[in-house]
Amino acid sequence: MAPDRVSTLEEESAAFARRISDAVSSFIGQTVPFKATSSGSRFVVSDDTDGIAIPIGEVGTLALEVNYRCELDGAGRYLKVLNSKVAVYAGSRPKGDPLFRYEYVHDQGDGLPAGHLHVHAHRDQFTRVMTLAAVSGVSRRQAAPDSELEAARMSRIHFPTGGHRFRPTIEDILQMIEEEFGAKPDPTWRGVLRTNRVQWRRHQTGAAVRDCPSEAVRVLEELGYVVTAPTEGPAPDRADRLAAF
Amino acid sequence: MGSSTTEYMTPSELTEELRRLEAELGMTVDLAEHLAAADALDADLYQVLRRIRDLRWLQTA
Repeated sequence: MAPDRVSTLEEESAAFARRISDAVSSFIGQTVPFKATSSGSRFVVSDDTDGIAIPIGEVGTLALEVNYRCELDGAGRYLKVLNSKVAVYAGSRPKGDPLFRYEYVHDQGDGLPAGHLHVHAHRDQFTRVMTLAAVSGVSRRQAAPDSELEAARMSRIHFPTGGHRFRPTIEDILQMIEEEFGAKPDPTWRGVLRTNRVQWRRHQTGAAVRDCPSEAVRVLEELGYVVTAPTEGPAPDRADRLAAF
Repeated sequence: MGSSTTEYMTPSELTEELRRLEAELGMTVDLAEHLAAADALDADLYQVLRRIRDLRWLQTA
């Protein structure tokens, strides 16, 4: 690999790992280091810990497993996430069988969605986790706080699916842990959450435009902008991306 | 507040590190995957398994 490509890869992977570390660290209130390991044009980012523990009240703990697999595009300009996984475990350390895990697979096979959620746990395991906050007297979002059985019903959990237009990020999952399970984030969390979420959605908006430039032009012209096509002709829409599961 | 480190591995370094991690695992990766899926793998060994998964993925580039 050319030296300048290595440099770009290292810079991109370091920045990506730092952004994830900032999110998790600001949520937990202490530094959670992440490591980016690269080879060729690819890199993986995962927590450089023995397990990310999130206290729930005074007696409970959830554990987080975070993993991203990325590459730079052919021109070395755009970072592409090929796989991502954020798994949430009951207990203090990941062991392989989480309560649930969010995944994204860029080149997913036929019949499988790129972004998806796996729920591993049984209903009673969720109920146990949902009551951890109450055991310590910590508040969490509850649809029916005066009804003990309703408050611990699994169907009350709102699993985030990415807001209005995008797939969920690690920030969404951390916010869910706060709202649904009663974790108490560090005071710095709100600012980081907003900054990272806005940054992610801007990035994804750009990716959506590259998938469908004709629609971007139509909307911009509708808003009063004058858009001039490049001399080599307009970039084609990516029908495969637009039609993907 | 966050922190990150980076490392770049050549193909031969990947191969060597995988060999070391698979020895540390002390069982086949397939068996470790089955134990992890059953929530029966030791937490320390699961960390080793995670690293093996990552490095194997890098090897497929």
